Amino acid sequence: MIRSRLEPGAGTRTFRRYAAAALGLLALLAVAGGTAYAGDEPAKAIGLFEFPEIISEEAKKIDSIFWLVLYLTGAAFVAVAVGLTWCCLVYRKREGVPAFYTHGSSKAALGVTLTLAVLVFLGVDMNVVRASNAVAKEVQANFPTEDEAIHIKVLAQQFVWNLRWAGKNGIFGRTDPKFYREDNQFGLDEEDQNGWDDVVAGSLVVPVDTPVILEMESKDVIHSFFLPNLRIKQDVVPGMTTRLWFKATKTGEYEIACAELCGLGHYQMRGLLRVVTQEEYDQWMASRAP
Amino acid sequence: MSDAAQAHGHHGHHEPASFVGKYIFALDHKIIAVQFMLGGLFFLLVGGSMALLLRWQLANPFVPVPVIGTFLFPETGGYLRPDDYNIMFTMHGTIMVFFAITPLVIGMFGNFAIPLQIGARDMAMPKVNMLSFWFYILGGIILLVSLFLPGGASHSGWTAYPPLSGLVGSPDLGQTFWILGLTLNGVSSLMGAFNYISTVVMMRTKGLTAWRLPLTVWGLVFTSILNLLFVPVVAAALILLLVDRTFGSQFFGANGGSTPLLFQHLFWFFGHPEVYILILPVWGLISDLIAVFSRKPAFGYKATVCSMLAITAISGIVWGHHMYTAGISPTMGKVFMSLTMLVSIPSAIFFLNWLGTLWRGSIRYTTPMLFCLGVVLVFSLGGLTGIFNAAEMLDVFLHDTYFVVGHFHLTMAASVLLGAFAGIYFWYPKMFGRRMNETLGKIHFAISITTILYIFIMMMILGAHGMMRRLADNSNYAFLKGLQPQVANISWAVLVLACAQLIFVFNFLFSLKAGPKAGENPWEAATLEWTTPSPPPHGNFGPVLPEVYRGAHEYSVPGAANDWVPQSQSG
Repeated sequence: MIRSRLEPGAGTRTFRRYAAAALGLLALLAVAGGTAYAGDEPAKAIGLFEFPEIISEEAKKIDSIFWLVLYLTGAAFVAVAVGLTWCCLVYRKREGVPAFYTHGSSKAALGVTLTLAVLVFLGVDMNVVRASNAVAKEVQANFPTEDEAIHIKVLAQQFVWNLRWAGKNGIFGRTDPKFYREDNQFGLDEEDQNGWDDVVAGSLVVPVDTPVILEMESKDVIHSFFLPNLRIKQDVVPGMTTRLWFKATKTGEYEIACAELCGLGHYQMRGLLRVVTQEEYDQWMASRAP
Repeated sequence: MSDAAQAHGHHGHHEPASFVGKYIFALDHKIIAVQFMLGGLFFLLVGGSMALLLRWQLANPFVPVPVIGTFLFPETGGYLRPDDYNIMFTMHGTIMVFFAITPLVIGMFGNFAIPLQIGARDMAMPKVNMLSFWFYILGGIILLVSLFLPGGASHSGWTAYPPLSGLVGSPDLGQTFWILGLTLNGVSSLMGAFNYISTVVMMRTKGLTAWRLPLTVWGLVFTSILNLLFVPVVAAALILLLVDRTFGSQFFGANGGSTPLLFQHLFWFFGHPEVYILILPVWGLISDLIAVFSRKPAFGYKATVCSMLAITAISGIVWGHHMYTAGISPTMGKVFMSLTMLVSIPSAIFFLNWLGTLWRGSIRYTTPMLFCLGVVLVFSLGGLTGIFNAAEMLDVFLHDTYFVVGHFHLTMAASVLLGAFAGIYFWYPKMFGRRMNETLGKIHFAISITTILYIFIMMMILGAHGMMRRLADNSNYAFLKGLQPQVANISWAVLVLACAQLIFVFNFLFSLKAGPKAGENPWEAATLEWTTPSPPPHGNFGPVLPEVYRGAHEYSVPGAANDWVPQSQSG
């Protein structure tokens, strides 16, 4: 301990007095903070490890990477923490026991270093890369073919998700920004007959067990289309069309979030994902047809 | 070289007599180091207070801030509007990264340690050094002033992605001020960087070969190289953004062949090296300090230097891992993932060498040593959680969530700040001639490390729930609302962490007057700065510069009279 090395000076006793005063002040602040803090009525609490429900096979695969990385890095962290604790406990200063003089530059130390490098590279790095690439092959690169999937266009704007289906004829109508209006958020060209049956809605209604392809554009700033239950997100960038696909396997209502800061209403840019049976979907589609 | 430096010392350095010349427009590197330290601590206070406001809003959405609320936000009766929240986290990030941490670990460490540790009388270019500090202050003033503009300061995040930071998303003047403030800060960093490199290359005292340099100096050299390479890139991006905003050009527009993604590439091309810019001086410092307080030579010195070099090289080719979901080619995502993984190899070697230095040492648990051990623990956690984000397909879920927030705060905020405190506790006796109180220092450490670990581990768990960052209020989402108690608990821990920093402020100020006299070498360290009086006089080393005969970490040498052998001891 360094305490023995402190020169006993006039400062030390005064220090104690002031330190006590400072700690007292801290305690006061904490109490003041405690009274000032008044919580809302408690919402239904979610368990700390009760992660959002998974509703697709692809999301399960993405989640499996999380657990793989957790095991690998967890092992590495335990190694560091145990090594650190052990060194700190065993090698603290003891009278008459000098430190071991070594520069750690021997061949043995070099060997340990190189072994560690190879171990980390092959054991952790390449394992994670392999796992991620395997999932990418089955999820990201495995886009459904054009005819088996439902196409939905997403048009993001501050702070709403606009959604559009091609309708009965299966062809999307032409759009142009010059037609943007309050009642025509997509800017549909009314002269294009293909667009007359397009279905426009505020929530994403999809049939269960059917692949869905989203084609996404943004009107103003960058947004990010995030589906927590499907473990995927994709930025929506002005001037670009980005694509995303998923196949939900469980019916129900889930949330769509905006994950990229998009302005003062960012925290409210919430959408709804409704996964329904094929019959309900057909009914809904019929009811929405113009 | 030492002859030239001596002549320089005799003829070039007249001690300034006036207060302004000595303490305001100072040319002495030690005073400039203290200026950077005080500047950094001031902005740490500002940025930290903003964090408290953010945490208040998250714990109690749209409830007036107690006591100071009506003063800060009179229009609303004391609570933060969503836009105020956006402004606060933007300014918190910007101020902490560029105006608090950078001056502490680069401005303070660099200016104080480099000349003293390499046996020089001052930096190579003292006037550039002074200018570097005042550019930093000017940038900081512009940033603070922007808070009072109509429309408020920048609200587009510290990453400032256009079009949100362009005229589409930020038509007010705040964003322009943000660009100007940051550009001036970049100029300050550049002036520091080439000054540091020149000083280390040209002004090392006789006998101080490259392999005898303290690792702190090595870390600062690599940091300066990264600054020189990458700060111009972000400066260019900022100026293009400025031109977009003021002259209506379309460098980052959505049409005419330009794309907003260009800004992201330029920003992260700098932004990723920036995290190594901040952590490299800390790695260097704690490698030295663990050796000092274990009373052992630094384990694997050359391997540590080579790892720093490797990190420096790799840092420039990994920026795409910030953009997996941004709309870049999936193939590029895989390339960047593989390259990013390479970072873990030199990082693992650092940990091996730190533990190797502790192994069979004779450890003295002083306050700076505790902070160093804190860096090792916190950085191991921060570094390892980086692998979650680096795994491309997993990042598709974790990107832009609190997982990322927790991860980067552990690495570039908590680790770097713990390192900065280690440096301050370590060099305080040399700077001011008095010692800080050890007991208060240890209390400061114990509270800080506990709360830091709690805060950021909890944030990562919330991130695994998918909780998005930068939300003014989580309760809009059903899948987040039930986590509100955890969010409030984090805010509590942040309050405790903030209060613990008051212990440090008190210790710092009180020790100036009442701390016990330090003497020349209170830590019994071997590097050159500890051979000078505390505080060192103008010109540092008396009439003759020291000569170096050995490496920087000769502790517990068998047969030596003491358990440390100063670098300048002959024979």
